[in-house]
Amino acid sequence: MGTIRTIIFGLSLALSSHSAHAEWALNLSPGVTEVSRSVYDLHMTIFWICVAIGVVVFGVMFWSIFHHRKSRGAEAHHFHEHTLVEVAWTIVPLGILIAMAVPATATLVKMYDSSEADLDVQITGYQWKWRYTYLDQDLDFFSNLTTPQEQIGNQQAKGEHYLLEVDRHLVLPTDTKIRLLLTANDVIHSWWVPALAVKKDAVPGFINEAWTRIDEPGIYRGQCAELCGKDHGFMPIVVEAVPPEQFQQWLAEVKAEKLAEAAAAEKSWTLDELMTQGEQVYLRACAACHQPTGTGVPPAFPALKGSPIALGDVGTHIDIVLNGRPATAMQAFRDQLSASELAAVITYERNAWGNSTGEAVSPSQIAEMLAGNADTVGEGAQ
Amino acid sequence: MSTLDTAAPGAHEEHHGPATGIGRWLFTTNHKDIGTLYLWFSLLMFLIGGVMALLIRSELFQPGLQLVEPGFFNQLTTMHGLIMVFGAVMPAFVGLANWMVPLMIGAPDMALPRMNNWSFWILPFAFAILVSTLFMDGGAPNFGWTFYAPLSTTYAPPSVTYFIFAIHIMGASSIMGAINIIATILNLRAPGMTMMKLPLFVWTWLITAFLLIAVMPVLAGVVTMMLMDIHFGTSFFNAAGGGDPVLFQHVFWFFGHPEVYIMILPAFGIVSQIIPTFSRKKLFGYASMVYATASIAILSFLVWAHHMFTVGLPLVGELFFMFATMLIAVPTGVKVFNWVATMYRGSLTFETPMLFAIAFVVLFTIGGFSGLMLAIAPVDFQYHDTYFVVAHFHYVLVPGAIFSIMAGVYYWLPKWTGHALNESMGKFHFWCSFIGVNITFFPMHFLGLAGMPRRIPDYALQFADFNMVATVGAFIFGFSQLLFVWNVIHCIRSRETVSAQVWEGAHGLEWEVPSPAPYHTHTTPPRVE
Amino acid sequence: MHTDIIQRCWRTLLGVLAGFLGVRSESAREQDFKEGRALHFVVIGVLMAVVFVIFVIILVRWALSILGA
Repeated sequence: MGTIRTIIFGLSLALSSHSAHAEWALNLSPGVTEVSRSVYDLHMTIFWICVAIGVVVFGVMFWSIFHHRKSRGAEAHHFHEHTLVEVAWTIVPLGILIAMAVPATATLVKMYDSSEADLDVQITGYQWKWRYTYLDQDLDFFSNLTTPQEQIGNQQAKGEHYLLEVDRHLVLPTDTKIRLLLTANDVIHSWWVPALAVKKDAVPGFINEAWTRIDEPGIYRGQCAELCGKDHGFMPIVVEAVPPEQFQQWLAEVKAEKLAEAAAAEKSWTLDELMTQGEQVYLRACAACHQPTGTGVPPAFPALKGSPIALGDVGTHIDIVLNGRPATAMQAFRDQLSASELAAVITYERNAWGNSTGEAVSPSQIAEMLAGNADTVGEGAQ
Repeated sequence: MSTLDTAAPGAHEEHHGPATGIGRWLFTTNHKDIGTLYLWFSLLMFLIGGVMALLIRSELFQPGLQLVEPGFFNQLTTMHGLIMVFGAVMPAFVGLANWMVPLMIGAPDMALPRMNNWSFWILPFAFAILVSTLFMDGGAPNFGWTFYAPLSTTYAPPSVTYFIFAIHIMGASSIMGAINIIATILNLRAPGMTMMKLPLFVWTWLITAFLLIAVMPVLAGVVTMMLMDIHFGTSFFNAAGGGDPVLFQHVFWFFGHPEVYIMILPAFGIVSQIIPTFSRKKLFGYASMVYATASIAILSFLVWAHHMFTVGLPLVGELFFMFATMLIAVPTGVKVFNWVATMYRGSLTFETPMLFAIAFVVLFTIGGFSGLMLAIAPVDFQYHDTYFVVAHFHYVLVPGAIFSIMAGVYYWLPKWTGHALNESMGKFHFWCSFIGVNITFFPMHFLGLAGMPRRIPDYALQFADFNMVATVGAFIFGFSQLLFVWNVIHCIRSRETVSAQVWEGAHGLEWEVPSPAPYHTHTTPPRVE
Repeated sequence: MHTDIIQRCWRTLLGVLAGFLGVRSESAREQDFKEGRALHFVVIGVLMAVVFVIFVIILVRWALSILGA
């Protein structure tokens, strides 16, 4: 007994010393919404029920292992059925399950009631980024992983939020019922933020609903939960919950930024300026597939270096970047990047890695094409 | 048949030995030879799948990308799953059935011996095709063993067509194996071996065989629909053409859930043979076990969508599958209680097979607990597609199905070879495996609860500690399987002979034939009183 | 004759229900196997599976009506 007590003591010591480690988590987080807390309570209830059943069943088993061993002279007792006991151990678990089903049903019904929401956000999964559209707000942006390739490749020390950081947070107001409408552009993704207890698949061609009402301001991180191809592990979700007044302020700021961006398209850019911005855009939006060296991963992701498209007719090149290639991983970037970003990245692709066409694509050229074929191509792509 | 059996049984069995050379294995129609082939094949696949698992765990040893590219990582997880499910677990059970069912029911051989040969020999081709995709342009299938559309159709690598063909061949093999087992059990039982005297391993396999016949065509159907979508312009799973990607998941899991039971019911059977032997006591509640197995089989068709709680089912559907899944836990629980009651007041000894069987009961039950937690739909939203699920199904499949197979092999190996096991090496293998398996998979529960999604090649820093622990455990478990290989080979080559009964508490027809079991057994049907 | 059939159906039904719970006594099982027919068990088993589905659906509807959803 003494030794057992020492072991248990040692174990608890080891566990408690570890829990001082800030990021080290053993259990589900209770989260920051009413729903997530009831999910956590359900989880703990069923967990303790399992522990209790386990203690009884394994207790009887180990008692037999110690006391009914042949080496201790145990003789086998020849009984091999007992209807009363059997009925009892069927009815008791049944009762426990029913007791469990009641709160579970209540929580589930609550989770499914997405009516009377104050804000609607459409979430679209792309290979491998998320797009957030604030319905009725004329606001729409993509959210990309910002962890540098050097950190992933172990050439650089990893940051605090390694793989859980993005360029644009999904900013949401607290104390507001927010309805989330989920869909996908290519394959099935799944939008999951543990602190909100929301996980819902984003299925191409269909719209799923979920909702949340966040109690506390803060930053909550999550990841795509459904295998969606090569970079499934690299499309995190960052939700930033702010008080409603601050949210309104943020909305105004973002809209002003958008106007400034449109103005930037009007100015004339030099080849050097385009190349500098192009490289940044390329690394953020294109390098995951086409690789920073432009060599791609054929056949799924073709090389751009020396490719006939990057060296050939500029119109075709722009068209592919703008509208994508259906049924391949090449997406339409018309909505993902601004006109100046598009111009810069296409210029970069035509002049980097020894692709020296010397051509510069101007933002106004792109803006024209966007305006010109918005109706025809836009509908065709759907 | 009976007219041929004029000579004395012993004398008759002498002059029909096996053929010599490679022809013995290629053209054999003998259930023991085919059983042996299945088991060696499954061991080979287990080792190949295991190497892939170790590659996966090595990549996950530390955060960051070290060994493999994300694309290849996905190929590894996919191939690991497919090889373990279809190449290791299922053929091992068919191999055990081939060896033991005729011995247990007093039949001279399987009912359809030529088909038996065929159903084994198409398997190596299926897996050669599947493994060869690793070397193809664009790589092997990379969409997970559940191959959800449209990732596995519109966005799949070209090798998906070979994958579909390989699945078709495996399905055909499984169906032929199942038909053979049903035909054997229903028609070739010795006089007096009534259905209610069948050993539980035979009962569970009979029910498993019906499940196989019911669901393998569904799997074949769903891969054929994929093939049509990819090559013939249909749009079953393509929303742009009016199809529905979620339809794929419904059809897949209508196969997939009974498949889970296909991989566990024979395990129940093996454990129900071993525990009574080493408890020196009859199985508690034999009748209840048979009825519970039958009802689990039927109910397993009604719970498939609990794998899809987050896919956006309507509330009514969600509740239906939650309730049905919780109810199916009852007959499964009954089985565990029966095993414990069999041990209670027995006269227990702990030889290697018994150790594996006890570990099976404990660890399978832990897997059952996490399964119960996963059945609660609102909480499943937090567990779904995380390492909690990975921990759950590995607990059910590794210390579940795989441990039962090892228990069965250790239990019957002396009967097959006529040689005694090296008990201390067997026990050493057991303890290494037991410790390794728990170090590998127990921390995965914590990882999942802390928020780590499954099928990712790289992870955030808060998951680093447990991933490192899991990888260490995986290497312990993986390399301790070499002890298993050593034990099997050692037992084959050993000179220490064993009696017909082998184990003190063993009862049944298989323990009445000599050890090693002669090439032909029960040529004159035994009488069961 | 007629009551005999009803009685046998009833026994089979009991057997199937016992199966769903996973509890059956040895003597009852022996009777099942002596007197019962496999076909009856299969037919009634499938029927009871359908009844089970309907039962769960009713359960769901009832739960939803109570929770007012």
